[in-house]
This record gives sequence, structure tokens and C-alpha cells, in this order.
Amino acid sequence: MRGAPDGFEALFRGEYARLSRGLASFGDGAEEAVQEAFVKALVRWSHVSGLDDPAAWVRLVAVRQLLNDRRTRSRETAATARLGRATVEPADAARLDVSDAVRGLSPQQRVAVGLRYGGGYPIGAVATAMGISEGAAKAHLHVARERLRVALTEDRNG
Amino acid sequence: MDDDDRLDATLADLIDPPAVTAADEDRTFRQVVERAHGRIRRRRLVSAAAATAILITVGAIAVGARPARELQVQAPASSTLPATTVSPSPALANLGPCPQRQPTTSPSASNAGIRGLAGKLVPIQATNVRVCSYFRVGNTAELDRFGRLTGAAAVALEHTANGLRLPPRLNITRCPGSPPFLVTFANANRQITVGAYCGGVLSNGTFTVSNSQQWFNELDLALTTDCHRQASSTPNPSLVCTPARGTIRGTLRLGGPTRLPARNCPAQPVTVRKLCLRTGYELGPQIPGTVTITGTNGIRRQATTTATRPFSVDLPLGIYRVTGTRSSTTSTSTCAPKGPFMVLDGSRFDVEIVCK
Repeated sequence: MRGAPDGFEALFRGEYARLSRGLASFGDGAEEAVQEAFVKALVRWSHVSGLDDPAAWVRLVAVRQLLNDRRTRSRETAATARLGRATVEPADAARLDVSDAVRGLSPQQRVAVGLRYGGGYPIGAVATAMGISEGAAKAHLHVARERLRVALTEDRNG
Repeated sequence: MDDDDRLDATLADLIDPPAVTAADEDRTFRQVVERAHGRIRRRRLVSAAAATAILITVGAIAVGARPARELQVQAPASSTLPATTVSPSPALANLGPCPQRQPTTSPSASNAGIRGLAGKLVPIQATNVRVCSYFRVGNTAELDRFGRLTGAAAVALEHTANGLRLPPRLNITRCPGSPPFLVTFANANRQITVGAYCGGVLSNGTFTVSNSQQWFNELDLALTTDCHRQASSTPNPSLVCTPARGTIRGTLRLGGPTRLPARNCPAQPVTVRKLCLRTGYELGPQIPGTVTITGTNGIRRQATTTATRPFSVDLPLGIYRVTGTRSSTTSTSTCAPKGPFMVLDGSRFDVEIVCK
């Protein structure tokens, strides 16, 4: 196997795990989208390496890939079916509740919530990755949090 | 800590995806590098003949728009790009490279002063076209791909653009994955910039039309063509041209003109108020035979098909027609030709050739 350019491996090591965690709620489709984003970054490395923030480019490409891919839904269905076989089930009931609640959000809200809470990205990075303004990202997060709050409260009360 | 902060903390705690192990990360890294190098290798393997086919194809589109004598394409050479007798216009040099960042100037500003913009998208006779494709990163759009067309190919793109119309009810399509294009048409004297927007419209700033898949296909062809030209003239590992191949596949089917349903005729004469005719073919079973695929680029492929196995032919970019010949113990008959099919990168056509 031939090597990768100097900066690419650093970019990959610094970003891959975090981005994968951030988009994990989409199941297998997320893994493919993240990989594809890095493949594109390496193929276009002469362009990407010259950008101010190559990691932001990768995140944006990964999120676009994920959201634009029409097959996401079927992958998600398949992934959910596999989850049903308890390979990646959350460890406790609360995690199960929140996983179900997250899956009930819109794709944009799921990306925002995943990147913010799963990947730990700041709101600015979430907005850049989604190709939207910070205000719009905050709005997605706000709506998502309210829906999650309701879902969690109902589960606890019910 | 207020209620929102508590919710944030709870969510951060509960939304805790499985950690990526170092082994997984290493494995994925190797896969990413392999996949990327594979794509670069495939790009390098695209032969000059493929580029030849593309350029001849683009030229051939224009033959329909202009008298054939205006385009004299030389025979494809095995290792060189094709040459045409269409000489480049001085305006090609004037167009210059695409801006690295998408200009903020609107087409209406850059096209100011050009007559006829209100009635036609490109009211000049263009001899050169420059296509700049931008990819949005954050708040800026960076140059992603670019391409140039000259001569007959430029005429063809202009012809398609000027054939577009704004439908009475514009069906705005979402295309978040498609970058916006800026297309500049030029001749020795003037140039016009047209924006192709993701909302599904093309505009010169004054006149707006609805774009079509054909338009995007031709833009893509322009970009791919130029990529191959650059790749063959200056090998550059960072330059990636997608291996441009498509597929035509299908079957030969027994069929014939649809007959009127005689059995459903009323027994007694009736007053006819409306006469409805069914047209077209009724398809019968799949039959064995041979198909011949002929491209305007000179490529000719033959494939056989049986009563159970369809044919499938992998082809470089081009415009193709498909004809079929039915194999029979008593006779052979030629089937109705199908096409033309514009084979683009990754495209696949499913064809049913009807034989009597």
C-alpha cells in the first residue's frame, strides 16, 4: 500500500473517530459517508490541504454525503434491524430511550444532535459541517432538545 | 446549573456512541488510502482513446446543430488527443482560468450592456465556453472542477441552453449535492456568464429558464472532457477524472403493433362519440439474438443475448444506437433500433429491443 501525504494522516487521526461518533446514530450509512469523505479528501488532497480548515471540509462532505444519499433510509432500516438483534444496544434503559428518541428526530436534527453531543463539536463546527448558519444550527438543536426533553420526561413518568 | 444545562449534560452523557478502537481506526485508514489510490490509478488508466471518444462525441452533438462540414474530426489516434479543424478563438485566452472562489458578482452585473438578454439565455454566437463548478465550504464556495469547450462543442452547449424554457409552473428541485455552476460563453467580441443554480434554474441575470438533466449532463461532459485533456497532457496525481464508463443492457423481445380489442366490440352498431386508439407495441417473450451498439464516436460493439440472459455492454462516454438481429432457425430479422442513448459516467440504460 502506498502511503498518504503527511498532513492527511494527521487529519484522519484527529477527525475520524470523533466524526464517526458524531454521526453514529445513522448506523452503517454514517460509517460509509465518513470513509467516503476521507477518500475524497485524499483524492483531492492538493486542493483540500490548501484550505484553511481541511477538517471542516471533511465534515461538510461527510454530512452532505449522508444526507443526500437516498439509500440512507434503507441502510438505517437495516441497521435498526441489526440493532434489534442486540449487537450495539445501549447498556441501560435511559440510553435506549434516548437512542429511540434521537432516531425519531429529523435527519438535520439528528446530525446536529449527534455532532454536538456525540462528537462534542462546538456549535460553529456543527453549523459549518451542515453547511448552514450558526443560527440555523442552533434552531435545529433547540427543536431537537425540546423533543428529546419531552421524550425523556414521558419515558421517566410513564 | 439551569434546566437547559442539566439537559445538555444528560444528553451528552446518554448520547454516547460506541468508541472507535485504535484497530478499527487503523483498518479504516488503510481502506481509505487504498480506495483513494484506486481512484487515482483508474483515472490514470483512462486512455487517450477514451478522451478521443468523448471529444468526438461532443463534436458529434454539434453536427446536428450546424452543417457537418463545420466539424471535421480526425481519425482517433491511439495515444494522442484528437484534433479538430475548429481553431481556437482568441477569446479563449481572454476567458482565463476560473476564479478560485465563486465571484460574488451576479450575472446581471457581469452581463450588463449585452443586447438580447431578455429574450434569450445566450444571445451571442459562442465559440468558447468555460465551465466553473464550485463546492461550498462553510460560507465560501471554492473552485471544485472546471472545463472548457471550443468550437462545435461550445456551439452544442449553447444550443442546448437556448433550447431551455421556463415552464409555467416551475418545479424547484433540491440539489444540495450539486455545486452551482458558472458557465461563460464567449466569442471574439463578447462574453456572457450564466449561473446554474441548485434551485433548478439557469439565468443570465435577466432571462431565466428551467435547467434540465440534459443540460447538467452536457456540463458534466465538459468538465470530464477537460479533466481528461489535462490528465493526458500534464500527469498530475492530484487531478482526478472519474473513469467515464456507462452501461447499456437489455433484451430482445418478440412484439408487434398493438391490436384493437376486437373481442370487446359491441355486437350491434352504436353511435361513436369518441374513438380511442391504442398505439405502441405489445411485448412478447424474450428471444435470442445479437445486438449491435454503434456510437457516434466510431465505437461498435456486438453482444449476444439468449431467451434467459440479457445483454450488457460496458461503454465509454458517447452517444449510441442499439440495433438487434433475431436469431431464428428459419430466418433472421432486424429489430427496431433504439436510441440514441447518451452514455455518461455511471449511467445505465435498460433497453428492450422489439423484434417482429
